Amino acid sequence: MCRVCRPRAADMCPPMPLVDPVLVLADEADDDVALAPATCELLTLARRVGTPVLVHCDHCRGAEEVIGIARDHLPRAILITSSAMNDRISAQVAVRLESAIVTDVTDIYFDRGLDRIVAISDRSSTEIHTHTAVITVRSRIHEPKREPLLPEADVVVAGGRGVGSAEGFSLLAQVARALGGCLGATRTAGELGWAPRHACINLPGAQIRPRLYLAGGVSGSVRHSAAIRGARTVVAIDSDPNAPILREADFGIVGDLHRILPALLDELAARAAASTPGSTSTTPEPAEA
Amino acid sequence: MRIIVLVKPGAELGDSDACAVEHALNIARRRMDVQVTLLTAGSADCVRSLRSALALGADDAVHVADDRISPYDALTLSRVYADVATDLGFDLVVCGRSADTPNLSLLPELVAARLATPVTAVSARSVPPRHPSFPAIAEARQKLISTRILPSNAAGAGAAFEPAITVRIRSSCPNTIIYSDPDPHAAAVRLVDFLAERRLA
Repeated sequence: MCRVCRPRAADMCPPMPLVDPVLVLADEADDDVALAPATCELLTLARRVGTPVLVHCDHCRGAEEVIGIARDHLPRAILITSSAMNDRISAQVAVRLESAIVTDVTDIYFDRGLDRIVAISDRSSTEIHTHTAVITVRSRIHEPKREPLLPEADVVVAGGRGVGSAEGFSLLAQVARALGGCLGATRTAGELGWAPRHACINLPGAQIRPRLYLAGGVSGSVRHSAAIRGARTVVAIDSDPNAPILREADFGIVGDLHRILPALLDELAARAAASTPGSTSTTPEPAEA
Repeated sequence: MRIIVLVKPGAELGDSDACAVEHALNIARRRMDVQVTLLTAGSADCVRSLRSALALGADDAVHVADDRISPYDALTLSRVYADVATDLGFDLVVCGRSADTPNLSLLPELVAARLATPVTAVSARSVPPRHPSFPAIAEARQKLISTRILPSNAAGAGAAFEPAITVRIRSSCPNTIIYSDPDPHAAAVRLVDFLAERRLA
């Protein structure tokens, strides 16, 4: 039996538009011709909580410029992409404006009931009480650099007995490269010779703390779970719906990883191609400050 | 010479804080007359992490006891740390950079901005801390932890102790999304959507 959804009367009236200015610090790669993808993403987030005001300046004097503009415009929030140079700017701005600071944010929205901005990160959501807030947004763009070492990697793609062969591990290595991370393996896979020793994870005393841990064919023994407890987001792919790792994962897929991983690589490549600066962007021009 | 090590509030000593203490001790061992002072702010259970850090070899500690300070409020913590550090006097400030605790990853930069001096940020995997020996743990019980209370009726302090933010921690396990679909392409699309939402892909 199907239900027909009728829009309620309250939904028919559009909500009041959010007009508080929200400063967005433009990427250094921006020029007069096109906006960098990072800037476009910040503008999209800014629109959820107010009217974006784009700040274009030389990042060496970024803090002073942003503080000056913030004192004129009194923005509700200041969005800055997180990076080594920008983090210094964010801290200076937060201290001089005495505004709350929230870091490594993945999403924001405006809670009309509370009349506050709420910022979402991996493990927490933060309500902001001060009138202005500096919000540093996690940078999605990975600079291509050499493969990080296992203890330091932000992204680890690991395999276990379910991978089945060394060829399967080379597929996992491709996924690791696509996500900007490094390859890992369970002790079983290392003993079977499918993966090099330095990629093994559940060695005693070695705990890894990546932002993303993607496990393929790992059933999830207690020891392995202890080694990956520090991971912030866990994704698991396994053919066994009762594998313990699926209970611990934030996102699990039950299926054949030899078919899912190639599909994943294709999808990642397709999205990367769609978001390069060469493609046309349909974002309208924001108000420039 | 005095080195102040900023310890994040919490009952357990974080890895980055332990590395920060070890870094400060490495400097202290090479010179004469260096005092390593720990500084933390928060509720009473912070004393436990101070004792652990004292067992690693720090000399003494200052605990700013105030239940109103949220352990994730980087702005207020940086203000308290900067004020107390200025009051105590220092030659160097060291702070652990923690990527795990929500919102505190920029704490070294915030304190540096307030003090207008560089703050040494030590990341969690850089300097392996020692394991404290039993004599060191026993000796730590004798070391001084002085407690400060922030004035609640100082002019303008009422606004200062309004919490700047409220943080709700979401635990990951109850929200597991399990997806089983015979079509691998659809599963891949859902996975990439999930990663994109969290800005991981």
